[in-house]
Amino acid sequence: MATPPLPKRIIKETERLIADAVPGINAKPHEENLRYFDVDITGPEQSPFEGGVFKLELFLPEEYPMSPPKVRFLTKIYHPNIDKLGRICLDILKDKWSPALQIRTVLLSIQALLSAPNPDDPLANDVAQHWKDNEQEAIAKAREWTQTYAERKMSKIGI
Amino acid sequence: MAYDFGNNFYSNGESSSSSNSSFLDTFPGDNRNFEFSTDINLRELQSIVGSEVSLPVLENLWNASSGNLEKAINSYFDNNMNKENLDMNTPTTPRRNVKSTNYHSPEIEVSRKKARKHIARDWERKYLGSIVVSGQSTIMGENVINFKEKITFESQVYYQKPIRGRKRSKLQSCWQHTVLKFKSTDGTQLGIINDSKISFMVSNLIDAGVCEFEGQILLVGNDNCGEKIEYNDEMYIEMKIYILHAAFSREPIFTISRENNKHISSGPGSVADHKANDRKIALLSAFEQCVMKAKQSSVLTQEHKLAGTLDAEKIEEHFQNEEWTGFKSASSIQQSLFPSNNEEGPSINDQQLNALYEKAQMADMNIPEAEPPAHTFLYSLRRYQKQALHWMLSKEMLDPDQLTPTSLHPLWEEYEFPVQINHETGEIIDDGFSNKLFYFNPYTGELSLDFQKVDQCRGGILADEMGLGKTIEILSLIHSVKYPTIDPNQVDVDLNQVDVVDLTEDVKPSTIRPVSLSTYEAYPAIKTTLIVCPMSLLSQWRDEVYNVSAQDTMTVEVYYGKKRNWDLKAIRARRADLPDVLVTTYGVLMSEFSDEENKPTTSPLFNVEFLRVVLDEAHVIKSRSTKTAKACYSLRAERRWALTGTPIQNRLEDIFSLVHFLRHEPWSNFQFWKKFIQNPFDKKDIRALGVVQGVLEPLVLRRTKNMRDINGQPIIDLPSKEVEIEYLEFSPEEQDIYDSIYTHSKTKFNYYVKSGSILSHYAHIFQLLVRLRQVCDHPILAISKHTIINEDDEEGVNESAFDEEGNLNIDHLIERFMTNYGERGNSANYQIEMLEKLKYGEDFSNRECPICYDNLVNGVLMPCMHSACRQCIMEYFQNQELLGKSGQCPVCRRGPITENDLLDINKKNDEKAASSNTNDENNDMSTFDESDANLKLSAKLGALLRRLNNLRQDNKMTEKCVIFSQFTSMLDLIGDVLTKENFSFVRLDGTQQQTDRERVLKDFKKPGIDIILISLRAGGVGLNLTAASRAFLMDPWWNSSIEDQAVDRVHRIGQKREVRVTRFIIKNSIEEKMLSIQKRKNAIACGLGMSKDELKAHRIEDLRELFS
Repeated sequence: MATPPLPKRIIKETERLIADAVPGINAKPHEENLRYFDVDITGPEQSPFEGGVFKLELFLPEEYPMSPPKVRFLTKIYHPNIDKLGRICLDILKDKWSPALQIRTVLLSIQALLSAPNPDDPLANDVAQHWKDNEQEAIAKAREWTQTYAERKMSKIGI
Repeated sequence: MAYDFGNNFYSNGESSSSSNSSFLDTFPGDNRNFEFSTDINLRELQSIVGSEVSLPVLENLWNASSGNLEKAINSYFDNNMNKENLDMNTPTTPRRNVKSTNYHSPEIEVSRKKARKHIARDWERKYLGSIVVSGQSTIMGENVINFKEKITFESQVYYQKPIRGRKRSKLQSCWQHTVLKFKSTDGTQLGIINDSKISFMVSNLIDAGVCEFEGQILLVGNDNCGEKIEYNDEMYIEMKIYILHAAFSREPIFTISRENNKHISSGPGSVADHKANDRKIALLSAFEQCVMKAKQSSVLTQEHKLAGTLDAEKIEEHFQNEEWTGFKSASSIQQSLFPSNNEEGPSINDQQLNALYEKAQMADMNIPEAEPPAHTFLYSLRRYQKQALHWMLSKEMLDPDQLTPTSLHPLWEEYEFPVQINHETGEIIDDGFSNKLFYFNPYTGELSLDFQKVDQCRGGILADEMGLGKTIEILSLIHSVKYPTIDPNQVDVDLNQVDVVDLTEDVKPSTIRPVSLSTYEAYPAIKTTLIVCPMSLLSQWRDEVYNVSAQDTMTVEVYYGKKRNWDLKAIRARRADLPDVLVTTYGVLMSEFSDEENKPTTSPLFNVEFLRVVLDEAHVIKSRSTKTAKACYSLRAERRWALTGTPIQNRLEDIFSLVHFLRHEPWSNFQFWKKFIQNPFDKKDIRALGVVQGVLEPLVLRRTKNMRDINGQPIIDLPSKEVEIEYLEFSPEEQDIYDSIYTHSKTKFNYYVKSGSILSHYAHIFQLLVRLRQVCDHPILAISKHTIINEDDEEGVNESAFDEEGNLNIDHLIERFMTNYGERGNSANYQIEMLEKLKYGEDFSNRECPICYDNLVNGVLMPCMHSACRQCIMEYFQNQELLGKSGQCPVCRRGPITENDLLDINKKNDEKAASSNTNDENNDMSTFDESDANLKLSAKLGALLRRLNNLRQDNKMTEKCVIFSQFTSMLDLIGDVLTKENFSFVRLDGTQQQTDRERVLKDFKKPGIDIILISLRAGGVGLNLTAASRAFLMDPWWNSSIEDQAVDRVHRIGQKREVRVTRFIIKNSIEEKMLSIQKRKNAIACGLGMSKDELKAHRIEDLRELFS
C-alpha cells in the first residue's frame, strides 16, 4: 500500500517542533504514521490545570494544511470547552483555520484555552453551566480532576 | 331549402346551355315535379329581380317566357334596366346567363370586372364528388319515398357534455352528438345518416359554409323495394358534394395567428381554433371520401399523409399533443409564456446540415449567367459568380404577380376540381368556367383558388462557401442595379443582358432618381446600398468598392467612428450626391438602434429606406433576441441580402433569424416557424428538414469550393492546401509546470464533480482550462497576471499596479499603501518594509511560503504584503470559496482578497532576467537555449522559430507567413522572439482601432514584411490574407471550424501558391484531448463559448474527458 509522500511542509513542521520546542508542549509523530502525533501539554500556571500533564492526539488529515489538524484530549479534563470525549471547542480548529497556522500555533492555542476557559462558548454543557453557576466550585472540581487524572503523568515529561 | 333552389337552378342552367338535356325535358310527364319546379323557379326569379317584385308579376313573367328562366330574367331586365331598384346585392349567379345576351359591350364588361370583387362571382359552387352513404329511415308507410326526388341534409348537434368530462377528444364528442338528418324537398324528415364520420364531415362543412350536399335515395334495403317502408329500414343515398365559392373567398383562417404576435394557441381551447380545426378535418375527410388526390403536394405533405399525420382521425390525436386542442401541458404553457426559453433547440448535426443545403445546391448548377456592366465593373467574374449575379438579379427583380409560378408553397396542395359526369348521358357536365384548380392547406384548412407560391422576398441568402467571393458577387449586383426602376411593371428585363441605368456624366442625377422622396417623407427612400459588416471588414469593403469600380462610377462612404457624417437633415439636403454604398458595422448599428429606442427618428440608419441592405457575415445575427439582430430587422430596405458562409452554425433556429431579416413570409413569423419547423424538429421529427429545404431552396444560393460546374470542372481552381500537425513535447521544466497546474486543476475539477457543482463553477473550470492551454503555449502565459480573465475589475487598482510593460510598479504600490494603510501602525510598517525590499530588488525567491513552507514559487503579494506561492494561495482561496467564505490573507486574515488583488513578485525578476539576456547581444540560438531557466523559449516557440529559420534559409522568405494564436500574450512573446531574430512582422489583434488594422493589413502586403501575427478571434472572419501562403496555428480552438475559417483567410480566391498550414500540438497535453474532441465533431465550442445552463449539462462529459 503506497502512501503518498509526506508534504514538505509537514516534514519541516515536525523538524521545527522538535528542534525548537515550545515550553510546556511536547509533540512527537508516530514512527509508522508521520501524520499522527502524540502530544503532551502541561497545565498552565495559575489555572486549575496547573500541575497536570494532559495527553492529546493530533492528526494531520490528507488536506492539511488546507484543512485544520484534528486534535483531541486523551486525558480526562474538566473544562467547559472540552467534552467528555476530549473534543475541543476552538475556532481555529474549525472555521477560523488558516493554512498559515501550524501544529505549533494550534497547540499554543489549546494551552491558552486551558488558561482561559470560555463557558460562553461551551462544548460540554453541564461543565459550562457549572462554571457559570458556581465558578469556584467548578474550578475546584477541575483541580480535583487534574490531580486525579493528569498529575500522575508528571514523571513522563521531559523526554 | 336553399339547396333545392341551387339544384334546380343548376338544372336550368344546363338546359339553357345545352338545350335538350334539361331536367324538365327529362321528365316532361311528371306533373308534380313540374309544378314544383315552377314554384322554385319563381322564387329564384324573385330573388334575382328583387323581392319587391310581387309573385303575380313574376308568374306573368314566367308564363310569358314559357317557363324559361333566362328568358324571364331577360325580359324583366329589358324592361327595367333603368329602374333604380335593381339590387346589385342579390345573388348574382344568374347574371352569367344574362350577360351572354345583354352585357356584351366591352364597357360593361370592364365595369363588371371592377364590380366583381364586391358582388359578382364566377360560379356558385363546384362539384367535388359523389359518394354513397347509408342511412336509416325515420318514416314509415307506403310510397312515401320518391326515388327521383332530391333530398337535403340537415344536421342537428346536441351539445351534451361528454360523460367523462373534457378528456374526450372534440371529434369523438361531435360524432356522438351530431345527428345528420335528410329531408325531402317538402321538409319531411326521411331518415338519418348513421355513419358518424360522414355526419361529422357533412355537418361541419355545412356549418362552415364550405360545402353543399344534395342527395338522392338510390335504394331502400328492404324486401318491398321501397314501396313500403318501416322504421329503421336501411337506405342507400347518393350524396353529391359541392364546394362553395364562398369557401375560397373567406378570410384566411390562419391570418390572425400569422399576423399577431400572439401565440398560435391563444388561450386554452379557443372556440375559433376548434372550429378551424373541425373544418380542416372535415375537408380532409371530404377529399378522402371523394378520392381526390392532390395534383401537387410537397414531399413533406405526402409524407405526412402517408404517416397518417393528416388523416382525419389521426390528426385529432396528433393535435391533441400540441397546443391546438387547448389541453396544454404545463411545459407548453411555460413555453408560450417564456418563448425565449426555446431559443436553444437541439443542435443540428452535419448530416442534417448537408441535407439542408443539398436542395439549395441542386438547382444552382443550371442558373444562367449574367454579365455585370463592363464599363463600370472592372473585375471579370468567374462563371459561378456570373451565375450568382443572375440569381441575385432575378431575386431582386421578382415581380410579385409573376405568372409563371415556380414552386408551390410547401404547406399547400394543388387539387383539380373533379369533373362531373351526367349519369344518364355519360356526358361531362361543363359549367363553363375556367377554374380547374384549387389549393388547399391541409395544415390550416385554408382554401384558395389562387396559386400559392412560395412567397419570395426581394433578396436572399448568399451562402457561398468562404473564399468564393461573396463580396465581389454582391458588388457586381450593386453595379448592375444601381438605379433600379421601382415600377414593378417595368421589371420585364432580360436578365441575361441587364441594361443598367447608369449615372454617366451627361445625365443629371436628379432626373434618374427613381423614388419620389415626397411619398416617403418619414422614411426617405434612397438609392444607397447599406452594407453591415464586422468592424474588421469595414475598410475591406470600402476598398473593394473602389477596386472593382471604374473611376467615378460608384461612391462609397464609411459610417463608423465618432464622426459619422450622416444625419437625417444631411440626407435630405444631399439627395443628389448620396453615396451608392454606405458601409457600417454591427456595432454602430446596434448602438444607434439603442439610441433610436430612446430618442426616435434621430438615427439616419433607421429613418431612411435603403435601396438594399446587405448583412455581411450575417450569422452574427443568428440569435434573434440579441439587440444586434433586432437592429438589423428594423432596417428599412427594398431589397435585403444576407451573406454568410455558415447560415446554420449550430441550431436550426440560426437560419430563422436570417429568414426573419429577409421578411420571407410566412416563415419570418416565429410562431409559424416554430409550429411547422422548430417544434417538429425538436420532437426529432426529421420531416421538419423537408420543410426547411422548401423554405431555403428559393432563398439560398450556396456553392462550395469543391463543387463542379456542368462540365465537371471545379468551379474554382485553388492551389492545394496542406495541413500538418506537428506534435511537440514539453521541456522538462515546462512539463513540471504543466503537471503541477494540471494536477491542481484536476483536483478542483474532481472536487466540483464530487460536490455536484460543476455547473455553478463553470466559469472557473473554463478558466482552469484556459490556464492549461496557455501553459502549452508558454508557461509564462499562465503565470502572468495579464492572461487571467478579470472577473471583477473594481477600482482599476490592479491595472495601475503595473506599468505599461506589465512590470510591477513598486513606487505606485508604496504610494497606494501609504495612503490606504498608512495609519495602521505595525502592519503598515511591515508593508512598507516589504515594499522597500521589493524596490531594492531583494530576492524574494528565498522567502518561505506560509502555506507550503517551501521557497516561493510564482510568489504573489497580497495587499497586506504577505506573500505566498500563487498556487498555494489560490488553493486556499478555492477552499474558502467552497466553504462560502471570501479569500483572506492566511497570515493576518486581512481580506477579502480575490485573485485579482494578488501581485506577482517574480514578474519583475523575469523581466530583469530577460533584459539581461538581450544584453548578451549575440543573436544566435544559444540565447534561447531551451534549458534556460527563464523558459524564454517554450517548446512551441522553439518549433516555430525553427520553422521560420528554415523558411528563411530555404527560400529567402519569399513566402509570407501568418501566425495565429488565441492569446495575445502569446503573440507578445512571439513578437519578442521575432524581433530578436530579425524577422520583420506586423500584428493584428482585437485591441487595435480600425485605422490601425487597415494600416497593418496594407503593410503586410508590402514586400519586406514577412510575417503577420493575428489573434485567432480577431482575424477569423473576412480578412483577406492571400499575400501569405504559410500559416501557423499556435494553439487549437475548441471548434475546428474557427481554425478552418482562419486558414481560409489565406486559402481563398486570389491565392496563387500552394498553402501549407502547420498546427502545433503538445503531446500528452490538454491540446491533444481537444483535438480528439474536435474530431468527434462534438463541438464543445457552443458549450464553452456561451454560458447557457442547458448546454452546459451536455458538456460535462467533455470536461471529464479533458481531465481524464
